[in-house]
Amino acid sequence: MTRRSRVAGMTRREALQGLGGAAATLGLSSGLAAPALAGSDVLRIGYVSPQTGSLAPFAESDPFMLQKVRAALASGLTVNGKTYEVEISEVDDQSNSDRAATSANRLINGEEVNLMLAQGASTAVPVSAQCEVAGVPCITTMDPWQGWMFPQGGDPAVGFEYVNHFFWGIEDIISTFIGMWDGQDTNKKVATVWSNDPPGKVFGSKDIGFPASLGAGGYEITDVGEFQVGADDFSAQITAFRNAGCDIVTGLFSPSEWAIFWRQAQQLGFKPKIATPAKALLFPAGIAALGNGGDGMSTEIWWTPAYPYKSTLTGQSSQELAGDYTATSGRPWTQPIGVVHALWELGINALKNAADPMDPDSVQDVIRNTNMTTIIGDIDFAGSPVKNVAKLKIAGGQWRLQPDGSYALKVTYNAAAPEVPIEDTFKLGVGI
Amino acid sequence: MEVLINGVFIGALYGLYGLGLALTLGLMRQINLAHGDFIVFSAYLTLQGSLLLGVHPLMVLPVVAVVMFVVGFVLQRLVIQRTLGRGEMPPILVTFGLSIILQNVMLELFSADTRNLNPGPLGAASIEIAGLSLGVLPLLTLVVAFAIFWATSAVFGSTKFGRAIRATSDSDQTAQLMGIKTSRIFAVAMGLTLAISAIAAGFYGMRGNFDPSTGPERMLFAFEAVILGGVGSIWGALAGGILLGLSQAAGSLINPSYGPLVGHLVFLVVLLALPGGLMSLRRRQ
Repeated sequence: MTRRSRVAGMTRREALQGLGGAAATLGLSSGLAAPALAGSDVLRIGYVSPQTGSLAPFAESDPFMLQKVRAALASGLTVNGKTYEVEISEVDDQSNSDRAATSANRLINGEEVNLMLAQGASTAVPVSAQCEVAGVPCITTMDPWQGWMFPQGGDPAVGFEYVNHFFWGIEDIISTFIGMWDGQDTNKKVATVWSNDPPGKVFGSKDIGFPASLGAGGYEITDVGEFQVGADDFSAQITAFRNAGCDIVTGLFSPSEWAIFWRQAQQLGFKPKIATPAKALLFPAGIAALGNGGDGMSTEIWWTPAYPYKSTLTGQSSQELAGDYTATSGRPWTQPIGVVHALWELGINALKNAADPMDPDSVQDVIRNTNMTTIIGDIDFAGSPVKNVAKLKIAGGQWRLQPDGSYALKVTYNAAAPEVPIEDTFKLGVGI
Repeated sequence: MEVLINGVFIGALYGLYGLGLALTLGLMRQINLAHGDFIVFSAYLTLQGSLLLGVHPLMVLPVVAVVMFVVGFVLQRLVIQRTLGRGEMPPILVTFGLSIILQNVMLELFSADTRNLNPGPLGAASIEIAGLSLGVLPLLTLVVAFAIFWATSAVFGSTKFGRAIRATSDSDQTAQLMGIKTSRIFAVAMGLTLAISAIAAGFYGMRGNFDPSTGPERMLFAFEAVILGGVGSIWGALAGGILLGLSQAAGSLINPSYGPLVGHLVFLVVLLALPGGLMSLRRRQ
């Protein structure tokens, strides 16, 4: 499961492997792994992500991204005049939090990584928890910060010693969604469907989630209860929404759950004017699965090729990075590409600027005081009111069916991220 | 009301899951614990076929059914047959092992990603009957389920092959004395059950999501449908499936998360009150 890459030169282990026979080195290498580290000039980065399983779309670009990062580090990393080789150990946790915890443990104790990077809604928390205990600097993303901080017993005013997180918070998605809906010609009746899992609980929370803000914004909520993750029958919810005459539907869905929900909504004759599911429509595949029915559906936006920023690793603009991905993989760009790229930018930045990149405290010190412009915009740990957390800005947009039958995502709302250009105005009606 | 009707539609699907199990359990007196995993496996075959040929999943379904028939035939002939006649445990253990093997093979071949079959415009189509909006795909599922139940019951009830199977299940030795090749009969029956499961898999995949680990839950629904209906009865599996679907729909009216729970509760109550299943009511009269 773990793949190792040699970035530059020859490691001591490989030199030994050259001398010994293949069979002998199997035993040798495991015995040497730990002592080989002290005093050597190899920096090790552990990377845990859900490359397969239900969260796989978020890690779809990982092979491409790792290849980019490795190429950028091919001649090593020079810190304070000393050049280090960089080894990256990547692990697929199969979207399983237990596996994520075990993998992190193995990377910490087996590989003795100097820095841990991780992404994924079920990955960030278990990996962070292991790193905090072991004292390994760690940066995670792809999970609303509340869903990362509170399950670990964190306090926004105090924070953590070694673990850091960057992403949006529930408050950002609420203000973006309501901002998109405000001023549209609807009856302000909102149907909400949250999943029965930790992120769903945050979205549906009466204190910090949608219910409080929707009420304050003059919206009337219809909600008949949470659904089990992986549910394949939404007829109870849909019938209630249709009978209540809701003009707007929102919720927290995986792409495949949303496809089922929308199919059944059409079967049951529920026709809202606005459909803004969180998470489900981040991906081109998610909207393509809806056939022609997805035209006009709206979503939050974390990053698009229209973002006016450049990578600090490769120097590419957003447009170039997206184009590079499509050319390399033959697949359309996705929003997590920008976020995962920013994760690597932050990680490499921390190692490069550390007084001693082998020293966990010194690396953590850099992360804590980071304020840099990445491919997704400004990531500011230093000035953040929430300790160890930096927020990324989000915009809102609509998927538009193109004449050739494909979909294009157009930014329609940018109140929180004014640098991102508006590409179109919001249009009412879904699937018309 | 529409929620309950949808419950019936889902129930028909559960009935289809159950039918394959009802045949092996009731008529052949053997339990196939890998039943759910074979359903998921068929769904993957349908997906691969439909992607490869670029056609609608329903077009691939008959081919998959034939393939699964062959798989079932060979499986019974080469594996399960060897375990028969040594008590109840060996076939259970062997199919339990098969279930684990199948899940891991699917994980290797298709990864842990969640997939579904895209029904295209058929998925969104609906018709209005008496002011109720009903989906065409669920209706089609119901019709296909009834057709398959009718055909199965006809085959087992009134053909020579059906009589041979029932005779074999009553007394293996006597059937052999009467000149019935029992191992061949069982192999054909096993092939049939997997072919039926393949059809069920197609509709399951167009309705919801599957991944390599969803087999055991299909198995659970299939078991509940069979036990609710009454072991040994073909139509009982359909009645049991529909009762299960209805209970889940009724539960989801209280709270969407309660659906599965209420389904299991109803199963428990029926099991306590009517151990012989729904069909035992009819037999008593």
